[in-house]
Formats: sequence, structure tokens, C-alpha cells
Amino acid sequence: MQVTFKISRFDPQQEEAKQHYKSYTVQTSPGMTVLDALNEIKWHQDGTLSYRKSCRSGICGSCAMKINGINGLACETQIEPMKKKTIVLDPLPSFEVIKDLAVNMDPFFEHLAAVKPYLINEEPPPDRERLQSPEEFKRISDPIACILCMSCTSSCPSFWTDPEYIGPAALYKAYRYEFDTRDKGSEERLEALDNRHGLWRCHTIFNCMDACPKNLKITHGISLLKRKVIAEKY
Amino acid sequence: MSDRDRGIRSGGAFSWFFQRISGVFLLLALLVHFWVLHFSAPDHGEITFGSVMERLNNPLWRAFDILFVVTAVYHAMNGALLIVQDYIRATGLRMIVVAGLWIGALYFLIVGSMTILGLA
Amino acid sequence: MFYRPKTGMLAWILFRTTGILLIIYLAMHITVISNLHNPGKFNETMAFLGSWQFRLLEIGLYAVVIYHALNGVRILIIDFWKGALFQAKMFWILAAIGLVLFVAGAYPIFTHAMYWKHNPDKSNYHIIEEASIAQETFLAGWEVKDE
Repeated sequence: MQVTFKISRFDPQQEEAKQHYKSYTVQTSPGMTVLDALNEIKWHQDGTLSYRKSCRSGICGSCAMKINGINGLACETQIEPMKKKTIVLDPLPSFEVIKDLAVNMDPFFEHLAAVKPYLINEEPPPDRERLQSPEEFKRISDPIACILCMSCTSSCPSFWTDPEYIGPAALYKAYRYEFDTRDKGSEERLEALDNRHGLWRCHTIFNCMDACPKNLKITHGISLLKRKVIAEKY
Repeated sequence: MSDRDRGIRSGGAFSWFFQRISGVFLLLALLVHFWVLHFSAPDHGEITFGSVMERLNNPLWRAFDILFVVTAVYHAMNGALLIVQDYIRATGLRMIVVAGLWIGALYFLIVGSMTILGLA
Repeated sequence: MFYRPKTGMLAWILFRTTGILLIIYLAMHITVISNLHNPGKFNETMAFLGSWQFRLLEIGLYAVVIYHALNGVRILIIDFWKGALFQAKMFWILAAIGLVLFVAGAYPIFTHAMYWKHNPDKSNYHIIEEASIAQETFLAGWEVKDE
């Protein structure tokens, strides 16, 4: 099958650098992914194309991009089942483009750091591990699978209009620690969560859950977090 | 952490929570409102001056109607502020629009309540 | 910037649009009702709003209210229960319920509109209008006498 890839290009080193699309034709085979096609283009057609990639097996979270208008991992998206003659590739929306499909990830990690995504517990450690029952672990097992690919945060209309919004990825990470029975850092995290660029900016639009390549229950976690804050306040 | 407008109250936990509470009240009140004024109305849905006066002579109905107006204006204003926060990023324009919304909200709150009290 | 909307984003866009429409309607509604201070003005306004054309427009308003109300219920189920796990399915179930409610409510509105289209002369507003014009003249005369 012959598929045309319409790829968003941007080269900051060119004078009067402007975003534009360039088309490439690739001969596909069954099982071939969008990332395979990108490699094919870069290695054999146009070496100037830039994009992030690493593990090519859906675990590093590097190759997230907008594929035919919806965010996802290039390495997890097979071409032939899409049944499209043309596939449009854009960088993740709302982030500054460094070159072509690569975006500046700094704001994303700044927002992530704001929710203190680590265990906070001032109590002296016990002789053995801080124990958890399987039921207690089950509540946080879903967000642990997050690979920080930015698909969700970049797909969120609330984030498009408010770059200070910490976004679904950071909120779900906050959920992972807030609902961890070993964690005691609720109060420290509250400052980043309970304001109009935090929890309350989420309007349950569900673009994050639709985009998530790991099918995580992001919005459900954010709902539980909202309820926790409301229950503590009122 | 850049500036997070921490001082601004609007769009926080209270606004979120009370939008839901007022929404539930509005849903129930609308059912009553529609039923009384439209679906159960006799004479092919013709509302007369007399029937409205008769209803508003009951202080309970008047209290209900005033609560209805206050909640509706609150819910509308809160929703409008959320939309302004999302789409109007320029500080000057945003302040003008927010001021306009406040004036409008207060105006309709007063006019609405006065009508219900004055009609009877 | 184009982003392909799925059910959740579609529901949200419609929720905001209907919200803005309802804000505009609320402002109009309060303004109109504030004009209903005396029987004369009341009948004048209601004869205009009670015309069959306006009654047909009310069907549109009814649809907007149903959407905003039912999606509000959907959001409550998402926020206070585990609706986030089946929000798309819930959207279509509520859409079906909304359609039933719409037909059930739009039918009487429509038949009333058609009744007034074919029997405009039977309206009470017209009859009381004459009475209230008399009342207004009377009250005007009273005020003059007072001064």
C-alpha cells in the first residue's frame, strides 16, 4: 500500500522560518507503524527531518505526536488498519516547536514537578518496608503505568488556553501519591492542586483519556482528587 | 513556578462545588417552572395576568421565584467567568469584560427580584 | 489549530455553546418579564410572545435547555461517581433520553402553536387588552385629578 505522509516542518535556523507541510510517499507493509515510516523517510528520503524516538515499543514516551488530528504514540500506531491514503503528522499541540515534530518539553516537566511527584513521609522508616495491602496498591496501580509521553496534557483544551494549567499528566501523578497510603504529603501538594490553574481547570473534556496510549483512567483519577479536596474543605 | 494568580478567588474549589449545587437546584426548579407555566397551563398554553397574580400572592411562590432568579444569575455568571478565563488572555480586555459581566449580573439580579416583589 | 473531537470534546463544546445561549436567554427573559407590571402591558407583551411563531421558537429553547440539563447530569455522574469510566456511552444514553423528552415536550408546544395559528381571534389577550386600555385611561385620569 502506498501512503502519503504530510508532515509539519519547521526549521528555526532558516531565515524567516515558517511552519509548513511537506509530503512524502512511503510503501507500507502489514504491521508497519508510523514511527517505521518516519524512519524510512529520514533514512532514505530526507535526512533533515527531526522527531523524537527511542524504544520503538511504546514504553519510553518519546514519539508522541498528533497523528491525523489526534495525539498518540507513533510507534504504537499501525498504518494499514487506519485505511487512510494520506496521514497528517503534527507536533504535539500547545508546546513550542524546536524543529519539525520535536517540541520543548520543559513546561511539561515544570508542571509535573509542581505537584511533588515523590513519596513524602517524615515518619522514621520502619525496620522493613512501608507495607501496603494488595487492595491499597490497586488504587494506585493505574497511574503507575504512565510513561509521561505528554499526549494527554497536549490534547487538553484547557491547557491550550491556559499554559499555566498543570494539566492531566501532573494531576494524575498527584492522584498516584495522594491516594498512596504510605504518603503523608497532602498539605504540601494542595497548593499546586487547589487553584484555578490546578484541579479546577479540568472541565472533564476527556481528550486526555481518548489520547492516552496506555488507556489510563486519567479523568476518573482527577474526579477522585477533586472529591478529596472538596471533602476536606467543606 | 510562575505566577499562578493565587490571590484570585474565582475559578477555585468553591466556584466548582457551588456550580454543581446550583445546577442541581436549577434542574429541579426548572421542572417545577416548566410544569406550572407551560405543560399544565390550561387554555392552549395561554398564561393570563390573573393566573400569574394569583400564584405570586402566595409568599412561598414568591420566595421560590426569587431563589430561582438568584441561583440562575449566579450559575450563569460563574459559567461566564469560566469561559472568560479560558478565552480572554489579554488583561485589559479581560478586566473590561469581567466588569461588564458583574454590572450585568447585578442589574439582572435586581431587576428580576424587583419584578417578582413588585408584581404582587 | 485542528484537533479531531471525540464524544467528550463534542459534549463539552455543545455544553459551553448552550450555556452561552442560555445566558443570553436569561437576560432576555428577565427583561421581558420586568415589563409585565400591569394587565395592559402584560397582555401586549404576551400577545406578542404568545404568537404561534414565538411558540415555535420555544421548541428550540426547549432543546437547548434539555441538552444543558442532561449533560449537567452527565457531569455530576462523572464528578461524584465513576462516570468517567463510561462517559461516552453515557453521552449517547442521555442523548436518547433527551430525544424522548424533546419529542414529548415539543409536541404540546407545537400543537399549542398550531392552535394559535388557526385561532388567533380566540386569544384572551386581545379581549383583556381592550379592558386594560380602559383601565389605563382611567388610572391616567386619576393621577391627573390627584395633582
